[in-house]
Formats: sequence, C-alpha cells, structure tokens
Amino acid sequence: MPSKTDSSTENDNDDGQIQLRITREPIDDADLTKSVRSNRCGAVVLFLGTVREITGEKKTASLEYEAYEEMAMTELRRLIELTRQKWPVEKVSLAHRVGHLDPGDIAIGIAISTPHRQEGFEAARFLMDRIKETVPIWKKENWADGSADWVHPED
Amino acid sequence: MTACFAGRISESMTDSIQVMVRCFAGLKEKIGKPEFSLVLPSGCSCAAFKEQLVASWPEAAVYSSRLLVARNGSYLNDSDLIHDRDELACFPPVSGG
Repeated sequence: MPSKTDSSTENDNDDGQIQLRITREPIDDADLTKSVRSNRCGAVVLFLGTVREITGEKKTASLEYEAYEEMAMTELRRLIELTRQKWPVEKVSLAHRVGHLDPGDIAIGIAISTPHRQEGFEAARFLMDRIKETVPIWKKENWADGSADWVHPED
Repeated sequence: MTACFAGRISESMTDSIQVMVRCFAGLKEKIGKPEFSLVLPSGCSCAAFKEQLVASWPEAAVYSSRLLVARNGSYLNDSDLIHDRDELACFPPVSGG
C-alpha cells in the first residue's frame, strides 16, 4: 500500500477523545489545546517538539522527517492507550509533521487534558518519551555546511 | 524421473522461503530502493534475517544489529521466526519528535 505522505492522516475514535494526525502541513498548537479542553478537566498540558537551530557547535539549516505512516499511526494509538491505562486522561490530541521543516517549526505537538495537573504532566512526559523510542519516524539533519546526517538516538 | 523432479521441487520449497521487505530512512538510502525481496533459509529467525540483509547489502552494515524489524505493524524480537511470504518492514532506530 503506498504511504499517503502528501496529505494528513486523521483519525478519531473513542467518541472524539483521541485525535491523531501525521501531516505535511504546519501544526497549530492553539488548535491542539482547544480540542482537548473539557469541563471535566482542571488541566491541559501541551508539549511541542520544535526544530533546534544550534546543536553544540553545529548549525541546522533544516530537518527532513520521514514516517512509516501505517505503523506510526498504529504505534501512536497503542502508546496513547497505554498512557490512558496509567493516568486518568480525558482527551489527547497529537500531531506529528513530516517532510521539510525549518528551524523553529513544530515537529510534534501533544495536548492532554486531565482532572488534575500532576497526572497531566506525568502522562504527557510518559507519552512523549515512549514516542521517541518506538514510533517509526526518522529525521535527517541538513546542516548549514551542506552535509546531511540521519539522526539516531545512540549517535 | 517424474517422482525425482517432484521431490526436488518440494525439497527446495521447504528449504527456502521468500519475503518482501520495505525499508525506510537511512537504510533505504544505503540499499538504494524502498522495497525488495529476499530469499532466506526456512526456519530463519529475525536475527538471521538481519544478518542475511547485511550480507546482501554490506552498505547496511553500519546499522547491523541495531536494525528494527516489524511484521503487520508490530515489532519482532530477534528470536521470532520469519515465515514464507512475510511482508516485513526494516529500519534503523527511530528519531521522531
């Protein structure tokens, strides 16, 4: 099956409690937070992963993200379910961008609503840390000096 | 003669299997194409599959044992068995977010 990288992949389930998207379009963080607001919740936690321009002494010109979309969506759903088993998460809205990103762009946005702030902080951190480990998405650094490297966690 | 021929066919079918592999990111660049088929000995483990892949494409050796393998959207362990006609995905450690 050809992967649909040139358009958004959107999925709602659990009566709209979970929104997931892998997209080539810029991520609107205000939309993410708005979509998880709930009168049953006293906390909304938002995490944004953004493109860092300076790493040590090297300068990033841009990043290129690639996803194995079908599996990434499956894995994201599994990790959100795992998170909801551990904390009383009301709603999750998550978007990951693919394609070409410039410094300052949002690569991933996660908004989570919970009844109280402590569980919101913990759930958002847990989910983001797991995503870094198992969701099949990769980034390539296009350095300002013209060289390029695929990024891997043990590098 | 006929029996011998049939015997050889069935022997070759039980001795080797063929899988389709999709690869991504740095591995796709090393191999030079997004998809390929690979013939493996039957009873091949996931670890042996990775060894065979690196033997076929030495450029991929830079990833060697760090390669991840998935079937139907789920990760395989090194000891999991590969089956004939499996559609596998193989890729380097992930770096999203």
